[in-house]
Amino acid sequence: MSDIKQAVREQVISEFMDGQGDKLTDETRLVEEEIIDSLGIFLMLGFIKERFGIEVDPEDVTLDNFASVNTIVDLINGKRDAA
Amino acid sequence: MESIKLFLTGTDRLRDMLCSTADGGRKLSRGVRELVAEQYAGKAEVDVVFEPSVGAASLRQAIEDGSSQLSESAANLVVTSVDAEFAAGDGASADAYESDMLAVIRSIKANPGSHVIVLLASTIDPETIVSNYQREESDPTSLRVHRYDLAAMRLSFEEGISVLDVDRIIAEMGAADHVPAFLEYSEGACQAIANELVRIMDDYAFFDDRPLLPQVGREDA
Repeated sequence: MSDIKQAVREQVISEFMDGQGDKLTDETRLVEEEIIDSLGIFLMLGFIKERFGIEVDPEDVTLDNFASVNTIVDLINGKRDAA
Repeated sequence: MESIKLFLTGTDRLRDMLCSTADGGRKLSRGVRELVAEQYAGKAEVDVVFEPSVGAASLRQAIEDGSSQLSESAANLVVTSVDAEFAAGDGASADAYESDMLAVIRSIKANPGSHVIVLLASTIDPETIVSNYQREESDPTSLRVHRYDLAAMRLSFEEGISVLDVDRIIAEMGAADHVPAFLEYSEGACQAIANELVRIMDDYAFFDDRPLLPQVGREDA
């Protein structure tokens, strides 16, 4: 597992799942399964900026980009590649 | 004493969330006007104006053609709600909402000192919770509301307006007890929302003898 994926997983589990991440997979639908709400997505922006130094543009703040651990990792990787 | 013009524009549900029955709401005995009168007696009073609208597109149109009271006089605080987008059925797309609301916000903020607060909507739909166990929905109600809430939050980030996170307030109170139907909130939930609006107004210094905190957008910063 990549360092980015591990960090994102740990953040989701600690911030939104009270540390109980047994059922979290990389494909778990975070919004549909009510793990993350709209404010939670914005809290993730703070985490991404602090941990990876990446500022996500508002237009990238979409349900699709924050649908799962994998899509968040893809977003971070995409921003890193573009930098 | 400071007189604050609070302009509410949306559906009757918005009025239910923020206004007492004396001011046209249907649920609260103490709305924002009464809460301010109690908590800030002698310092400030709120004059509530309610104008019906069914979403950002109609509000934008009303402002542009001069039929909204917002065109005539500036309000200190304008409050709208995402739930109005669902007043006429499924509403427009979240992208269209974002575009229309951006125009509305910029029009309001053209008046120096006018602030904007958008109430997000609860993503809970009691009927969807049941039906989702029976069939897959490609775009359930909760996701559609999330899209609008996110659009409002993007506007908050870009334009510096405030959002009041109704979804989280209700989730913390227990959605099962406080959302009897889609976008319908209990009296207790409405009271919590009204309380939160007063708290946000306090944060902006509406009740103090000092300048209001500005709503600074990303491009203004």
